[in-house]
Amino acid sequence: MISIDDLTKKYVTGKTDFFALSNVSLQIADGEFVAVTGKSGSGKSTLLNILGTLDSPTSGSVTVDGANLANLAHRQIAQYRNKTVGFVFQAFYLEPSYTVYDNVELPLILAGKVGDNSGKVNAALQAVGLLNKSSEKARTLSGGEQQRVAIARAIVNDPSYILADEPCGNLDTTNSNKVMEILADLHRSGKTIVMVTHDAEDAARAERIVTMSDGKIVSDEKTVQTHLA
Amino acid sequence: MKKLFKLIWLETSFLKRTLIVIFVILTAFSSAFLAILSVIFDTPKGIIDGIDAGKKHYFELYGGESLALSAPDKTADFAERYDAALCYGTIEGTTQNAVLSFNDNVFESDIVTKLGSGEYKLEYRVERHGYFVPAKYARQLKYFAPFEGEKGILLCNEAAKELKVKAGQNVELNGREWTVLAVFNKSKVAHDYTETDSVVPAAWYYVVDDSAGVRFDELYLTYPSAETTFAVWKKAPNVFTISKIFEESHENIALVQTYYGYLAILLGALNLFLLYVLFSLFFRSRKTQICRFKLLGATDITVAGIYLVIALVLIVASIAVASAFSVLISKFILDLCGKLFRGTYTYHYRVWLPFSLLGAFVLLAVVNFALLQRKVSRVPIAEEVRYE
Repeated sequence: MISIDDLTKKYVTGKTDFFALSNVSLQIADGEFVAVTGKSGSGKSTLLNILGTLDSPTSGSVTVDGANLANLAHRQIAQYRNKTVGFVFQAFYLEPSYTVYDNVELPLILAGKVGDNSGKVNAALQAVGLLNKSSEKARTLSGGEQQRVAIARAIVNDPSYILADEPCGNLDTTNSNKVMEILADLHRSGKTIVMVTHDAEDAARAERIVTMSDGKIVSDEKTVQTHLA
Repeated sequence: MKKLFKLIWLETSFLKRTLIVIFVILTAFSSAFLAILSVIFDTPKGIIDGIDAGKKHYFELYGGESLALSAPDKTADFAERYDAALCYGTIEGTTQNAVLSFNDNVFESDIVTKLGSGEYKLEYRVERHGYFVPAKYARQLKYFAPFEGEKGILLCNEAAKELKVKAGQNVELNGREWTVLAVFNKSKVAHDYTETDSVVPAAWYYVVDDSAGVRFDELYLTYPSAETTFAVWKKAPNVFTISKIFEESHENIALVQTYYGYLAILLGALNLFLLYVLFSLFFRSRKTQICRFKLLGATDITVAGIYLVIALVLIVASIAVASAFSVLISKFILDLCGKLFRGTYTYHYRVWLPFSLLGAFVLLAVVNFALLQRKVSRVPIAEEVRYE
């Protein structure tokens, strides 16, 4: 469970303060599929970054599975990023010179699993439909395929939470649908998914939509699931 | 540790192309650097080591009856490398105006010692201006044309006065006719005509005011053992003897060192540039990559381990290969230097150098990485990955 309490993130630009997040509070239950939407600059990516410990809040707290992220030591933060959450970004952030297999295996290696990881890696690639591309270099894949590799990498360590920041932002409709179907499958398998998107259609596929504006949550509502059922 | 090796293996697999570039750059610069060091350190030492008065070489007087002396090219090349020398001559009868010259080297009689009845020892100082000819000499002497043909002769002012001849006139000496090319002050003879370009290259000349009817028994020059392969020339009737030649000072060496010093500085600057490129390849472009690693759960220690070990491996490999190649390339460069400066430069591999480079590189790698880590730690990973 994710508990966000009174979260504020302030940037100082010149003599003025800019509040990317302003007293945001949010509860995300285990197994939820939450879409965070809003216009550019509304603070949705900042919220996701703080959730992923990629950024730190100015005030407030984020508690994940009972652990306050602000109290984690460096090593614990590394473990959190490695095992508790899986990241999916708009720009994929793959190692372009690595093979698909190596990219997906990387979180396992960083977790200290240096033996035969083929079972987990292949399972993750199977889940995104790219098992046949495992030996290809990441840079040779299409955008949609690279994003699916990124998802495979995000899930290979079997994290409880998937944090996705505009996962379909660089993709065409066909690939967007594939990625969203994969996320839906992950949701069905019990993963908690927090997806930042500005696309209303993608957001509608989540079971809950949190809308932000000027660093604040302006709406938080459940959706009616039809097409993902 | 296994984790580290696995990550290093993954990381280095894509650095192969980079590694080749690094090898090439490092090899080229190291080679040039080593070659210059060899010249700077070995040239003076080689010259000093080369002083050896134990060998004799004989030369035939050019034209038999003339007072000019010729010698093989290689002998001339040898002498040209030196800035100064003393030549000891033993003659029957003598004149203080005796001068032995090679191109822009001049052996000027300096000290005359009477050894016995009709026997003198002449000590000749060699003045050499080499390739760094002061312009003033060239200007002063351009109208002189000593030693043109077999009839040319220089006379000292006293001899000219006694014979009542001026430059350009003919005079009969030793039963043959000479053309007086110049009349010189005997105390300044070396500086009066030595820089002219009209002197025939690769030949030795001995010019004397022969008013006293001097006869030379023989001439021999003493060269270092390295020069023993010269042919022994048949002695002609008018040969004379120089029993010893050695360097007294090395005026040009300092000049050569200065030039090489400039080159070394230039190469040093290029090497610094290389270092910059090298570490840019290793680290600067890896800031985003480091953030990505952290994004996936790498600790600071893991990231440091990966990149420092990679840097160490690449640096060691680069220096090893570069050193091996640089031996060959340095020899080639030294050959070129030898042709340029008319010397023979021997390449000496300096074991300490690659280790010094290694130490410097590793130190820079550590410092660079520490700075990089500091930079990365100050910027949220989110900021870094956002702008990829």
